[in-house]
Amino acid sequence: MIKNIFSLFSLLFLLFPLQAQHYAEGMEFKLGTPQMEYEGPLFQDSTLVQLSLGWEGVQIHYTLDGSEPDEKSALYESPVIIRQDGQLNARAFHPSFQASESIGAEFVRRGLSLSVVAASLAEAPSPQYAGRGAAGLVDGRKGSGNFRDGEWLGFNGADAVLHLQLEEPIEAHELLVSSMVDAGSWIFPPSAIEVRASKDGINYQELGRLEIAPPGAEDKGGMHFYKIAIPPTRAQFWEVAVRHFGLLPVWHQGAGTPAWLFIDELIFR
Amino acid sequence: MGAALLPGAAWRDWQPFRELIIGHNSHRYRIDLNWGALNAQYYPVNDCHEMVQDSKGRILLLTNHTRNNVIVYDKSGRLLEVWGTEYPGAHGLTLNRENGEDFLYISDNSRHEVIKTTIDGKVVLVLPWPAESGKYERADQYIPTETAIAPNGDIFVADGYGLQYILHYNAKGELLHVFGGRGEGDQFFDNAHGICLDTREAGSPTLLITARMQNKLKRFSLGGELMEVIPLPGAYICRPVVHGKHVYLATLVSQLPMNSGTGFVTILGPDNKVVSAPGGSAPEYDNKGKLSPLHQVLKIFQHPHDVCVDDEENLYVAQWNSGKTYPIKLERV
Repeated sequence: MIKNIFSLFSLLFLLFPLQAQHYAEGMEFKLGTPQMEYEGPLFQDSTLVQLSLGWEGVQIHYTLDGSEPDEKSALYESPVIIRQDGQLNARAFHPSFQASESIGAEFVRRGLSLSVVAASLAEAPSPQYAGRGAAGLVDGRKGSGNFRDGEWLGFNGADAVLHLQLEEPIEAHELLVSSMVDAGSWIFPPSAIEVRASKDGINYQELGRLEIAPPGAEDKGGMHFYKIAIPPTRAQFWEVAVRHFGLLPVWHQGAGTPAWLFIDELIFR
Repeated sequence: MGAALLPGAAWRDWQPFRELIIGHNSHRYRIDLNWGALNAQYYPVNDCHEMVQDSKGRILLLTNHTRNNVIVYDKSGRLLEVWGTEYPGAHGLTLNRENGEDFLYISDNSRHEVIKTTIDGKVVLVLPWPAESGKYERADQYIPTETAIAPNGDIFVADGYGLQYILHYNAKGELLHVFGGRGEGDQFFDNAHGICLDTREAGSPTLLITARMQNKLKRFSLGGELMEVIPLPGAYICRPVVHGKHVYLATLVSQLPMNSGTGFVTILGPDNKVVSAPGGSAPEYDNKGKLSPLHQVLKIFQHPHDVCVDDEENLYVAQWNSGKTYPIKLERV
């Protein structure tokens, strides 16, 4: 009997050595999400992104291609210089803790600066999310991750159709539309974006159309720029139609009611 | 007999992260995740909203589970008793000693009332929604979150989920004064979630009130005059708790949304500067005295809602929306 107890003890000690109880072994806790500091998502030539967490021994790894960082991804050592459009994702790692959740931000080079004569929306945004109106969509000011910050225009079950008359014709080959997804707040991505241009303000020609896949229930929300390539076109009048998502899908708690569409900035290149 | 020799309890209590120390400067802690864990079939919790220590040294937990709204533990986390089945919106718990006897003040979000009870749960006073204030039209506009009791027995109620007023009653429950409310300017509130009496300056008690969505702690005179604003960027602070010369603040999250699971504990020193943030980042002040935004560094906590400081300066952290878990104890080292 006694002998059995002793052998049980030794077995336990083999399995769970009392020495070297580094808290690492439990991997009980997850690291907090790294902090990301930068001036804004729009940049002229380049911009700097600082990453930190504030726990000794933490290593932050990041990617610039939108993929989820792992320990083989680039190690953060000094501020990351962003020189081209892209998504920066970062995650913290430490031998004693579970890796953090990732944090990400999209960076986009500024486009042509426009001299706007007239900007109008076919249908006005909801009064509580009127942003800076139609002209605010091409003022070079992007909203924050908070759709209530006064920069975002919200449309409930309606399209955002913007008409622009410029002082001078511009030559563009690409359009970017900044939108937001926040399923919990009933904000869904556009279903499609259409670009048309006109030389006289009467006859418009369709230049490009982007179809956007609906999000799944597991998809992470956030801000996103949609890019529409168009044949290089010189024109003074532009029409951009951002189509709303439609009715909320079956997996959503608001299934069957209209989704919100939020946009805050358009960029012509 | 053989089985009795096995250190079963010790193995159960063995927590591999016991060498982990969290917090900064003078206020550092070891973590006890097992403290107060009960059989949820018999003693269930929903949100663990607030905790206090009574004059017998017992720890009282308030939960919005109506099977047992109040769970009473000893400091080691052993269950002593439970009571309370009529507080579906149990949210705020304040203990006050009156003529040698402990009384509790429960702020109930769902009942739109504040209820004063004896330490074992006998109701002695109910403060209904303040129709007489002229500020409210209906009971459901009033969602009291916390109380503070002045030395003369006056009761201050923070309507933190309602219209953001601070209601000042006398000990009998007669409304004397109303201040705060929603608005632009520091004398107004957005989520006036917690209130307490700051007794650190002898003879001149003041009120500390959290404006959670504003990441600010505000000091008011008992007469309702704004005296001081303490910005705590990044800290969505729930209620202030004064213990010794320090102020302890459960910090629900450090970024929106409110269910982001990014909480920690914030501790202010006698000068009302952050001295330690267990689970959060080290406090950093620039040469102008401006605090860098605080943020979570380790997911020890999800959504801390209250901190109870015991007579040995250990902390008990009650959490909202954290998977119906029991409180976490932090042992001061």
